[in-house]
Amino acid sequence: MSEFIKSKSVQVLLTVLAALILLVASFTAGVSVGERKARHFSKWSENYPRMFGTERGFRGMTPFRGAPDAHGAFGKILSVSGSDIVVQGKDGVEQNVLVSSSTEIRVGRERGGIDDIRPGDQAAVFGAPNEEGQIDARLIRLMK
Amino acid sequence: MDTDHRPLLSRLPFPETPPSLYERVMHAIDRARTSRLRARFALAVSGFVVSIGAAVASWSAVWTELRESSFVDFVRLAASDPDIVFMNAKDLLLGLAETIPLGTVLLVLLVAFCGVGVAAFADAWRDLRRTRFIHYSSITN
Repeated sequence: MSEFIKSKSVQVLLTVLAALILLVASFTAGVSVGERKARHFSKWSENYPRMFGTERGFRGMTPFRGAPDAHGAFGKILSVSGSDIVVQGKDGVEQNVLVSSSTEIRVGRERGGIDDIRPGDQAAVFGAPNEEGQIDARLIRLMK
Repeated sequence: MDTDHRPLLSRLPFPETPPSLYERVMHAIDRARTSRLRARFALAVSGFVVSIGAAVASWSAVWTELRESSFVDFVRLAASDPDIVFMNAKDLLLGLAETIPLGTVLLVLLVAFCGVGVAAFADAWRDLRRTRFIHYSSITN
């Protein structure tokens, strides 16, 4: 048995199988992430006027700058209104973030509240995309 | 018809290998190995040069992608505050996967692959030259 495993052809076969598994796994992961991102982008585009009160550029079209990330945003807080926060990512794309009672807010390493969030702050937001093209925030970490 | 050649063969001189046969065989093996290594080394060097050229040519695109991606910030945040990773591992991982600057990563991997190839083949070539030197020294001494 050990001779069988040590043989050159079996080792080549195992290497090829491992490479194939890695390839298929990374492809599947990529497709899954792309699908989530595309779904969020679609909802985000549909709801853009409602969320931000303006059309996107000429007739709602702007040059494609990449889809907004669905599960997180890192950037500057543009506005806070009630439980709605608008975060502008480093790529310039605005994201509407919903804060709920279950959202954990951190100011640095300390616990904080929604009152600690102010326009101009840098923040990292983690959460899940909803059907309205927003991010339901689970964690907001202010960089202070 | 069977003919007995033994009397004839017994009168022939005992066959001797040509005196330089060993050297010629070793030299042929050496030449084959050198040319194979040279081809691989040339391929690795040209791959390295092309990938470096591609990196230089697309530098502004790579820089823009890196500047606009939140990937580095997420990684830095996770490293400085591991609590965040434990609290929200799934969203953090998905966030990281969405923000990977793929073009930059691909280019870096390509340059690294060709660079390691150049280093490995250069080392193999140096090794070959050293063993050749030892071999010829042992023959001549």
